[in-house]
Amino acid sequence: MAQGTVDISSAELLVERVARLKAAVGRLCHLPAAAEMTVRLDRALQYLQAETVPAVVQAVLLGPTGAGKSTLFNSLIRRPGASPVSDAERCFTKTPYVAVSQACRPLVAVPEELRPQFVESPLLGRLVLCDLPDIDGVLAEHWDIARQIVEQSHIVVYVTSPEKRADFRVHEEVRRWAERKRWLFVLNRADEIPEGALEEVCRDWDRRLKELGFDPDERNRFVVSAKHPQRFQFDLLRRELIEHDYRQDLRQLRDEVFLAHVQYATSPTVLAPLQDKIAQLRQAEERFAEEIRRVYQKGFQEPRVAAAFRAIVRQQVWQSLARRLWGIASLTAWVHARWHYLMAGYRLLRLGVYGPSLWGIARATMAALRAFVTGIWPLKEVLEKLGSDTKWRLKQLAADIHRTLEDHQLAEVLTSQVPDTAEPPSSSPATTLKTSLEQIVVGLLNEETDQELLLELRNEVDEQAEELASRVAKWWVNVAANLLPTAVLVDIAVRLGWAWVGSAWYLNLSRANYPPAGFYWLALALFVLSVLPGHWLVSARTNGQINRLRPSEEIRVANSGLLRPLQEVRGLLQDVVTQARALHQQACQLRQALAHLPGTVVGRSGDDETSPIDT
Amino acid sequence: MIVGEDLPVRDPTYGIAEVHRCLAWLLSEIPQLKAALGELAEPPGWEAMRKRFQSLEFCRNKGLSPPLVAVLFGPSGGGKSTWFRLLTGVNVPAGEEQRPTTCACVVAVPKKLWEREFLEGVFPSCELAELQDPNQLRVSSDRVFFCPQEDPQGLPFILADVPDFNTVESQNWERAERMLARAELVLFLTYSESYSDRRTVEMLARCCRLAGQLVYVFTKTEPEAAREKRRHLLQLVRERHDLGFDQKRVDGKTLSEFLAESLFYASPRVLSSEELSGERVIPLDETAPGFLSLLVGRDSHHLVVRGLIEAIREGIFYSKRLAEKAEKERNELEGNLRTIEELIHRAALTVVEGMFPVGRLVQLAVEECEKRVPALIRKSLGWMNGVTNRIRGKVMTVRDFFSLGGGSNREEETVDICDQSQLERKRLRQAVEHLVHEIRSHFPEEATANGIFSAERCEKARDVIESQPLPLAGIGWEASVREELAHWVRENKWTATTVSVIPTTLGISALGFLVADLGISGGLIGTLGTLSGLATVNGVAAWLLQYFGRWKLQQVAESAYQVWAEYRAKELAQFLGEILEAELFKPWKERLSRLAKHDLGKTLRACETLQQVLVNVRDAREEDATVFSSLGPAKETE
Repeated sequence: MAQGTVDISSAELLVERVARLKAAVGRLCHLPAAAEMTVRLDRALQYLQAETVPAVVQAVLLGPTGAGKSTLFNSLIRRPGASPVSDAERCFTKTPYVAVSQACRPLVAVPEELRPQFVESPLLGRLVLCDLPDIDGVLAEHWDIARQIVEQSHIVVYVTSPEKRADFRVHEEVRRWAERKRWLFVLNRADEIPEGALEEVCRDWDRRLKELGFDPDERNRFVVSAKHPQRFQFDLLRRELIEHDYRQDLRQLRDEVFLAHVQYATSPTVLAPLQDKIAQLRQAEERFAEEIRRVYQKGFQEPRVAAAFRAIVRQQVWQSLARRLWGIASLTAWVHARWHYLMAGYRLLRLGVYGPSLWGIARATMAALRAFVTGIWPLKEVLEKLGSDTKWRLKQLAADIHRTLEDHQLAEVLTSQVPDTAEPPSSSPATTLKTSLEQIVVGLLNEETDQELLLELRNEVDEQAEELASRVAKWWVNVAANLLPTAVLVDIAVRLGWAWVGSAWYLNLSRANYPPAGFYWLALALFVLSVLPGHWLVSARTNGQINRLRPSEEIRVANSGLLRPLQEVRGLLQDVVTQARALHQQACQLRQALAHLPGTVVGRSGDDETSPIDT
Repeated sequence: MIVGEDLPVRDPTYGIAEVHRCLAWLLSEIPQLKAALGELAEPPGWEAMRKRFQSLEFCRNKGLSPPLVAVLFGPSGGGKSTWFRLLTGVNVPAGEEQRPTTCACVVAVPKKLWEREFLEGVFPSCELAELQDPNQLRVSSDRVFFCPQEDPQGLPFILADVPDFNTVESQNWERAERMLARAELVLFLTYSESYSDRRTVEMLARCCRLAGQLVYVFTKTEPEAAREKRRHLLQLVRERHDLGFDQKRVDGKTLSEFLAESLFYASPRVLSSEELSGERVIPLDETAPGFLSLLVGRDSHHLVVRGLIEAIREGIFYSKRLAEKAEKERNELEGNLRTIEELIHRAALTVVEGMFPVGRLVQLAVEECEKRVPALIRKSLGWMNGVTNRIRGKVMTVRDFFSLGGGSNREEETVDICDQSQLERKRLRQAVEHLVHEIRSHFPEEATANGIFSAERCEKARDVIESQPLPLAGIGWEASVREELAHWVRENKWTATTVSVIPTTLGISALGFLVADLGISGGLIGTLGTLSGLATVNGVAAWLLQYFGRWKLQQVAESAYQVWAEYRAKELAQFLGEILEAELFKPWKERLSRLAKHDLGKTLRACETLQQVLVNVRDAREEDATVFSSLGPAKETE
């Protein structure tokens, strides 16, 4: 992006992002920091919506009483007495004095209720210069008047005197506006500084400006004497402020104000409380995750529970092995995992083909029951044994999590979405049958907690099974399990191929010689036998892993549904902070690109430490 | 009540001893009360009273005249350090190069008062250090540096130079105010651009409240301009009610009146000590004395007393406010603890209301009946009953079996008889969850991450409750039940005889811990009522329970239930209360016990007494030394 220009499309993009951020942070408006951010973002958006490209540039003289603002005002516009001055009485300027050219007077937006006094000044061109009442005198209404006008201004000229250059009240007021405006700094009454002390005074003043987050240099900091404009740096100030041609800067100043509002809304001091909340929620999440793990581990200390868990993990391991192994070993694993379902299906098929008979029905029933017992029963047993104490403890943890969110004023942020515990349907008939049977079990469970528990257990089973399967299905196991059956298959294929070629009737009809039926049965038998060693190898490794499994120690419950509310809220906060920081950085960068405009801005892009404290 | 407004008629009855007693009481009591309330800051008015009185007492005890302490006070740039240098001859840092220049307090002490022990008595609770190098004053420090006066002006008092109260170095403000609290004479220096700054005027009001005398100096200002500024300033403080100059001093004047009567001076830039005594410091009133002669000729004794009196007024105001706050907080804490007690009691009631002590009640019934029937008859009947019951037991077993599937009478409900501790534990868990929710709802300001009812603390308290064994059931409730049972036995002799033989046949001795879960059967009446034709029973106690109706023991059962429930609820409430106190609201208890140690009534009475003394002072003429002398030094200066 070229120096001195703001990419309009970037500004438009920022508008969308600001609106998105405002929508996101609006959900957190119970938090004071979030509410403040919402208000500030809203102000930024309203400004951009309300403002077309401004017709004039408004600059104000802001400073303490007695700094010489009115004298400076008169000198800058070369109209002595335009804004009345009094050495005798302080807080003398009670209403704003507005210097503007005749042509631009209708374009000035100072509210009438503030009773502005207009001073015609053809020198100013597109600039409107305002002399404001003080911001530190006894008359608090002066402060309000000054603030109302500063709010609408583009450039603030901070005018102070040597005695008041470290004044607390004035600095607080500057901090209030620091991020939102462009600044020029004027140390007036330089003629009153003793000889030899000027340099030291300037150095001291620069130090104070840096404490406010500014970077003063010769382009934005001026030492003047309004009573003696021919001395010091009055001319430089005049050149920078009055003689600048603002006609080309109007659009950019509009964008600059918008960017300033965005920077202010996303300042580090606003984000800091949200970041604290994120850290606290993360700590709470870790604590609760550990607690949930302990509850499950305690539940799994019961030997029968552990045994049932191992049984169901074993089933799941075989299903995983069917995916991890390849070739023929994968096929045998698949058959092993679904054997009872396949048998049940086979029996039902026979009933359909051969017609129902008592013996057939009994056998089909037994097969179905066996499938049920093998697949579902351990899960139900685990659920029952984990029973009322574990369920109650999990309910307590859910209540604790909710209370934690209440403590942080975040309970209202929670959505009322119920987690979808239904599994998506799987493709194979055996898996579909298994899923249907599980759904029957789920239907027997009356409480929602049981269903959630079931889901968490299943997730844990799947995770454990995947891990065990990965340990079983090493590459060399794959090779060993597939080697012999592959060799047998190749041998059979070669023989069949040789016989096929050798028995081609079109080569020699009398020599047509097909392998006998026994060959095929033998080949099948040999193939089946060749599969067995590999299958036994895989079985032995699987059983070894299962036997070494200690559910009470190894159970993880890595992503318990109980933690979802905390994770959801933390995610929302993190999202807001991430968006806000990105916006802040971008706004800073875009503002820095407008360095050709009069004045300077606070801080540097990404340099959060130098940002002043917001009031 | 503000002293000076709507005051009662002068009561001359308060004596010297009473004044000292009240002051001594407040000085010892208020810091402790402040600590009990967790307040950190000491307001300037209180600090002034404390320091000035302690200094006075120190001097009285030593038989010395208390010295006058004056302070150069004002905003940054007013010329305080420059004037200090010129008045005392001490070369402190001053000038334009740095703002602020001074970051620590320094006092210049007349040579005749130059003794560390004396200075420590005159400046109580200050960390004193001898000034070795003037540049020490440029470094931020809470110490008060002291040095001897070098100047031949020979000021007869201790003069303090303090940091500012209005720059960004905010730690300077407290140091300046601490010295203002000690000083009786305030030399308020301000330059022409700062006299109407809000902060400057606010601090001026504070000076007017605490000072024995105020001298206002417009520095770097010509006299004519200074007169105009004085006029403007006095107009501002008179007309602007938000500045606080309407408040009254002990002498009955408002602060604005006091300011108007103070001496004003003007001075262009002063560069030498000769200029201070010459024409360069000009009184704005022609009748006022010259500046230096004003300083040298002060009646220090009078100013010390006046300064103390004004400080006492401020101290009384603070003490009253603190005592009232403590009383309010004490009442609030007591109310809160009562509320929690009620919630705990309610929770305990919900635990026990769902249970009926069937086992123990049956035991008591049997015991009372046994007293009625001679042992021989009892044993004989018991043998016969035992045979009958064995037969009946077998019949009922078969009947139970078939009634499991629904039974012939579907309207009859089942009764769950179980061990008391198990059922109580189960119900207690639920009750505790509800109790925690109730407590947090009642005190939402404490239901925060740092509050005493935070989620984490509640979690811990609940875990402790669940890990502790429940208190054993007491027997205090049984006395009244026994009486009723004895009455029933007298009315139903034959039935009592039957009941008395039950133990020998049914092994009833282990029934004591059994309770009926009324949540299942729908209340006590339901429990007793449905049992008359019970299809399904669970154990001996339930079997016996069914006869309560037949034996006309419903009333006894109801009465026993009420008594037992109340008694057991108290036991559980105490159990819960002890744990919750230790884990949750102990800070409230501790705070309450700290506040309870303080006699707030006595504090308020002491304030009233001192207020009356101040009334006397206000009404006394300047020449009336009686009341003043009661507070003044015992002897002349050594």
